[in-house]
Amino acid sequence: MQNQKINIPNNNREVDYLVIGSGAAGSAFAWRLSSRGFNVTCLDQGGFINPSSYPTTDKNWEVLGLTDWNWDPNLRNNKADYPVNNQESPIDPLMFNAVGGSTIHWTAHTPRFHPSDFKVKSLDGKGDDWPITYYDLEKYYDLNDEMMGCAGINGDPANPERSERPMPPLPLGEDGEMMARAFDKLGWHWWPSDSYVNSVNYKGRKKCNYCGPNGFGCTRSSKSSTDFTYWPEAIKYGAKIITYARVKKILTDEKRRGIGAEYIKNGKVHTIRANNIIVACNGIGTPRLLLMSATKNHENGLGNSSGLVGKNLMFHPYALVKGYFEGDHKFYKGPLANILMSQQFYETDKSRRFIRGYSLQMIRSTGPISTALSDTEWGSNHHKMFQQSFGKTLGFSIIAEDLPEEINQVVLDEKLHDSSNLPCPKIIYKLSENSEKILSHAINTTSQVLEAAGASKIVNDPLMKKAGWHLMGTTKMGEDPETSVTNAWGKLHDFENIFIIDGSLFVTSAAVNPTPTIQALALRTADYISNRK
Amino acid sequence: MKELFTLTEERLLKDLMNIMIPPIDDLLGAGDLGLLDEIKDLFLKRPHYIKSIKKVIEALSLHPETRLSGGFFGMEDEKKINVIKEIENELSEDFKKLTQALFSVYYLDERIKSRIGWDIKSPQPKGFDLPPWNPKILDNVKKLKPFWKAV
Repeated sequence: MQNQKINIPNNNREVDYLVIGSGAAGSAFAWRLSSRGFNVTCLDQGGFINPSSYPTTDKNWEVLGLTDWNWDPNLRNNKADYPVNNQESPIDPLMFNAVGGSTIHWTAHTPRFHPSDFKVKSLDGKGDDWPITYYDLEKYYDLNDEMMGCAGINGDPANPERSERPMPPLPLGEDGEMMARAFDKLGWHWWPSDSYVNSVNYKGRKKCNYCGPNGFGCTRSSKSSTDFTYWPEAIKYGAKIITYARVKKILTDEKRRGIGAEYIKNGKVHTIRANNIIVACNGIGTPRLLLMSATKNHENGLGNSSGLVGKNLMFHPYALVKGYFEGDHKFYKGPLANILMSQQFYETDKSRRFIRGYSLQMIRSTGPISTALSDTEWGSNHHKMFQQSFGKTLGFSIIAEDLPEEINQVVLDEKLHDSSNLPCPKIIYKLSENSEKILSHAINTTSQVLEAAGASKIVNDPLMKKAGWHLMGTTKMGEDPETSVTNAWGKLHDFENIFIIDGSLFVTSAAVNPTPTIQALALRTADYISNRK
Repeated sequence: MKELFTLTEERLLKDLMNIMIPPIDDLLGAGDLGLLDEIKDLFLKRPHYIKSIKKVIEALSLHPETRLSGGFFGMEDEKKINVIKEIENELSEDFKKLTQALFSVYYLDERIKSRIGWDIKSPQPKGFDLPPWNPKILDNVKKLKPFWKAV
């Protein structure tokens, strides 16, 4: 890892917009606002990563995935990471801390929310309605697709008509086509995945060469991450980033205004003054920061007059169903999880005895070490099991909609501290009965698909532990300050100039990967701010 | 440099590795393939792995069955397997790390890669070829009527 040459503002200089966090949301916001002539500075606790350091060019790439490049910050334990107490959660939260945030470490599978996802309370009587609709976000989804580079194709019967994607879909491969035919046999929906992965050369970035493990950073920049999509453009417009700067607290005055932040860099505490503060630290980091910023006037943390900061934490509970196929296959050829998706069971159907639904995301086989660890046992059966599974499994990860519940929350841990001696987040989370029913239904239907595809053996993991990729809901938006933390633009109800722009804003979780929606929200807030001037 | 494992620990670890990944075809078990040095090299900078491996070794050595038998090495295979399973249950996280370390060095070994037909040094820069996008595959699914819920 190494720093790129970037503009670093002088300490104590006043900035107009201080963005905390440079990931999916922070980068989109910084680009939009700086492109309109605003003064934007971003603080990130990590640095720029040199793409040549990503694991996929290393012969030990699978070992690096278990250790230094693990998705779990507790196992990775990089300088930029903070530990998370996950002892009271069946799902471990995953994230990456660097310029680009978790877009470094994602598979870039990028479906959109459905219109119904914004109206869960009205339609299904649980959770809440969003104060905005799908159509409020639509043009920002389009803009984000263009900036990040979306590969996909129109005509999906499970989703509204939309603008053309900038790139055609990624090829399905023989394995993807085999699975598509299995869905066809059952008469069920499937559609090529939307992906922020280049199917053709795009904006100076090469087309994907289908190496497989694209959950790591991409050495050839074919898979989008915001360090090379939004940030170079934002920096060109004058935005600045201070790297390896861990924010200790947001500073406020007594008039409902944020006035800057204190951050730690090289072991020293610095202060930066700002006219507006934009928080984009993800669904765990954002409530952590608001809670750490408590003052005499805001004893329970900033923006917390509703008592909801940190509450309503939503993951997407994931289950995995995997089929084994006889014959000489090499199903590890092609992107791990950017193939096709089914939304046959996405919307509520009361006959199923649960509300909302799920998506199925097809996944391929992995390398030999991952295969040995996930599909074999040690001992006399080891070689046989390996032979039956290596390159011969295809499966689906099931993304269940998670409904908001106040008991699921992020709090500050009383004992655990990070390397800067700041309190760490603790996750308290329990899987709901509704989620259990969704996963159980989905395991059954997914098994039918794999059977139709010809799998000789089908296994499942009913709740994946290392699957807390999506962190949502902990500063929910809404109209009423008593039942929400921010308004419909992400502005804290309790402050005039502090905005949240990440997945913390989500009122409900939908049943799709959240990043395009996070980025669309960030772009929308940027437009609101620039238009109000 | 101080050795990571004592000779006794190494002996037990090799024996354990042979049981966990036994011989196949003309290849010896993992312990006899000389992979112990690979574990040391690969995990030298990741001391928590070494710590876990040492913990498992210690637990195996101190297990009452091992002591009664005069040491792990002298036990019958069936007994060894039972003791290992017991330790795997008791020290599941440490055992998991040991397994990760062992499977990693085993499947990184050129002899094993050749046997399983994995001729890839690393996923990049070569990648793989996929046949081009085939629009005809959509013919059936396109016949479904739109079913998203309008609100």
